[in-house]
Amino acid sequence: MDNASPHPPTRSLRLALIPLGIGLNMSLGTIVSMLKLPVYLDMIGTIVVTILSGLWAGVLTATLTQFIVSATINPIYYNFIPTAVAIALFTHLAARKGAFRTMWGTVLAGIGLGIVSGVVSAPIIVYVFGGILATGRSVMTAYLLSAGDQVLNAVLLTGAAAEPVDKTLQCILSVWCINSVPQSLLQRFKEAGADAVSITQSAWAPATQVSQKTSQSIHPVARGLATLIGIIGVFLADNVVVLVFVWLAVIVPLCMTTGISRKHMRMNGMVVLPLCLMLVALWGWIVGAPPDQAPGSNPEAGVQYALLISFRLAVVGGIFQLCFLSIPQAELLSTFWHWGIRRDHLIVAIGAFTIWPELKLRAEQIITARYARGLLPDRRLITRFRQLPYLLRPLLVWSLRAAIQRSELWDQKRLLDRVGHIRHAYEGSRLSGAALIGISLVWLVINLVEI
Amino acid sequence: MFSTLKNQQLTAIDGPNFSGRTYLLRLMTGLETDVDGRYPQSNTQGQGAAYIGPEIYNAISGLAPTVEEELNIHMAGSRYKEELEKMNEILGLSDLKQRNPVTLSGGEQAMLTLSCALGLSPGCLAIDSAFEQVSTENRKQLTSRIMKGVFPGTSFFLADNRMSEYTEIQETVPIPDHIHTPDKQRLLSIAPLNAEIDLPLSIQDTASLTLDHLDFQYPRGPHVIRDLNLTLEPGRLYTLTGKNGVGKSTLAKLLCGVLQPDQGHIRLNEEIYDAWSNPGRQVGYHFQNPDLQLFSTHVEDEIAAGPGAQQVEARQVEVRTEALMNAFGLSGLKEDHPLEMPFVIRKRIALAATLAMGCPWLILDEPTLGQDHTSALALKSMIDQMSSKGFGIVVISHSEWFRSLLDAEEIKLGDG
Repeated sequence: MDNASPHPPTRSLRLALIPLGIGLNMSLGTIVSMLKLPVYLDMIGTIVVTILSGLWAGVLTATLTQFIVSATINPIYYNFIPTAVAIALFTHLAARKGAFRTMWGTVLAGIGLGIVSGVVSAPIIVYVFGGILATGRSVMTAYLLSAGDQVLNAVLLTGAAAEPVDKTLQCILSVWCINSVPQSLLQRFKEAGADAVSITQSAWAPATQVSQKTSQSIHPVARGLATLIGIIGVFLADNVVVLVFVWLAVIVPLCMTTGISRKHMRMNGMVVLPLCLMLVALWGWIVGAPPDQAPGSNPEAGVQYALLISFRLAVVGGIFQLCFLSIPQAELLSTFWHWGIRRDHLIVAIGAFTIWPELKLRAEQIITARYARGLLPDRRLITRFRQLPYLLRPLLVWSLRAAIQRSELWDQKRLLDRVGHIRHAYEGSRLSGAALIGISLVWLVINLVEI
Repeated sequence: MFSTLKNQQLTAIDGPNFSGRTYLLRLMTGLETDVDGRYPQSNTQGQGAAYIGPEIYNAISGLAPTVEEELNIHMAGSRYKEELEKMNEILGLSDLKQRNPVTLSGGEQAMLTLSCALGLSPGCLAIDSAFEQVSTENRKQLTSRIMKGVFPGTSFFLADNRMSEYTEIQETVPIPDHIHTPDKQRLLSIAPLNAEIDLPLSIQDTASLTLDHLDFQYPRGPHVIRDLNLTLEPGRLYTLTGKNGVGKSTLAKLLCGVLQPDQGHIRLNEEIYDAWSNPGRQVGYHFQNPDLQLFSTHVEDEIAAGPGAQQVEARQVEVRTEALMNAFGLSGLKEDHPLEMPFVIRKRIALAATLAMGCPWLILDEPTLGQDHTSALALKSMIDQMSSKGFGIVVISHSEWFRSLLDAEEIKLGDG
């Protein structure tokens, strides 16, 4: 039994929890969509990890979640990394002030979290997404804009109205779940907040025996640099025709040759197209002018502005997909290594990319069990809503237990050292990498000259 | 302490649940301290030790996105590299190289974990009930290789509930008497299974279960169930067999109403039964991993939750809960947190909770997982008792011994 374990806390326990926190963030999406509930719940893992393991763990969980969701599901999420980090920061401060000890404290923290999240997201929504997201709350933004509000004000107000409800629900759920899991499991994590030392006493072969792994495709550094330069170029571009040309002549063919055209088209169909239609309606019709002109003065420029934002998103999303989705699974580790991610961060990053499918699987099984045990007598909305905490608890306990057992395993087998000591030589052609950086630099220069 | 256990290629340790088996193996591999709080002197000649436990999904490192990487991390510089490559070929692990290890089945994960642990060429390797989901054929491959001395630098310690099925192992060693687990006090409140208790579960109308041209395909996924026709009679025992991925659990989910069939019907006594609108009413489903089907903070509430949600009369819920707690040896744990119990008990609680619902049809996936020989026999008697009361029961199990013990008709999926 877990409380019987004599182990002092280890650094590996904290490291093991972070990928599971990311998995929690992502699997709650699965639960919500399987139950068809109208809420988001995308931050519970971040909140739980921040409360249990502190600020740095929370920030890592938040940032990596946005990256992985962007790389695997929907490549617009990375824009909200600042929001996610702000949430981890605020949660940490609230936890240190003892806000999560009482119900009212938790509710207040939730409202605060909502406001922080709304304020940090607003500039992102305005400058990257042209003022709205493809969600129900855009109606309110549109109404405020048509009444003559400044776009940033309108988005701020909408965020401040909608976010607190969602974030308060997430705070209450997280705290309720933490309080109802076996205390002996939690104890291990509370102790792990202290200075950690590895207690392993196994004497494994010295770390000089390491394998040489070689990457065969594009050099990871070239891949990363080209992505970065490419994205900066897109945000500098302010000509729709150029963006359409780049999308058709560069992004689409590249997606086709790397075998991700389907995913790219799905992103455009599910994310960019709906947003584009809403933006055209908003700026071309409801407001009737781009944000920097008087309402109703220039509908044509409004439509132009909407198209510019949409094609920017399509191109940036494409670049992001090309960067991440075309990395062969077997080369993830060496790619991260070449990007300068080392030691603990390498462990967390590779763990995060590895474990999330497992938690999604568990989330599905938990819902299955809930139905199979007859605990959902019907499929009404209210019944499905009331399941949330009960579904969350086993998932959380499962994650905590997995973190404990995995960290034990890592220590016993000295796996963290082994992973850290693998040398990743690169033995591919450097020409493709150089070409990639060259093209992206040309693209950057063109856009700089235009300005 | 381990003088009796040294100098053998493979030591099979025999002992029932709660005899200190797990503690002994964890102690030997440096995961636990002895009663004085010290780590015992290693008997591995400075070569490291590894432990593989029953919760096999947590023995995957979680640091490798593919099976190939997982093997790479462990096998760098291994003394056993050639042997392991041959072994992985035979076990079929080589065909799974591009898969994510966390999405493999339990049996596949167990084989991968063993291969990885061996890759480290440890001085001592403890295997604690990790082979329960591995097919008999593959398990024999593994043990025979170990016994042939293919891995000469490693001492193997094996503890398993299904040791009686290991025909290849002749000799076993009992748990040394002086092993005391630190939580012995707590374990004393756990009673053995009691199959003598008459379970207060009954059905008014026994019903035959018919699958009528059942068809199901996952959205954008595999077409798992194709035009399936089958009739199951009440009061009978069935075993469901078939390879991984053939649709055993999908069928179970369709029957208990988690999934909705694309075409065809489920019929109870010839009448169409809409499982989707009444999930968990007529068919109860207990699946392998107990952790994912426990939802309460007290053992007693856990068992009472199912019948409670289905508006069974309060007095009747009480009677059922009481009897099932006694039968499953849980009476001393009423107020305990189900998720804080050891794996064996979590499995029992989940089973008891499924039975408590009183569904006329039950699907039990690996009911004997983690249970020792005596407990498995008791479970068999309970299943017989339920069956004689008119309940229809379908068992899924990797244990050939347990399947042969049940006088059951085999339903083999995947043969059309």
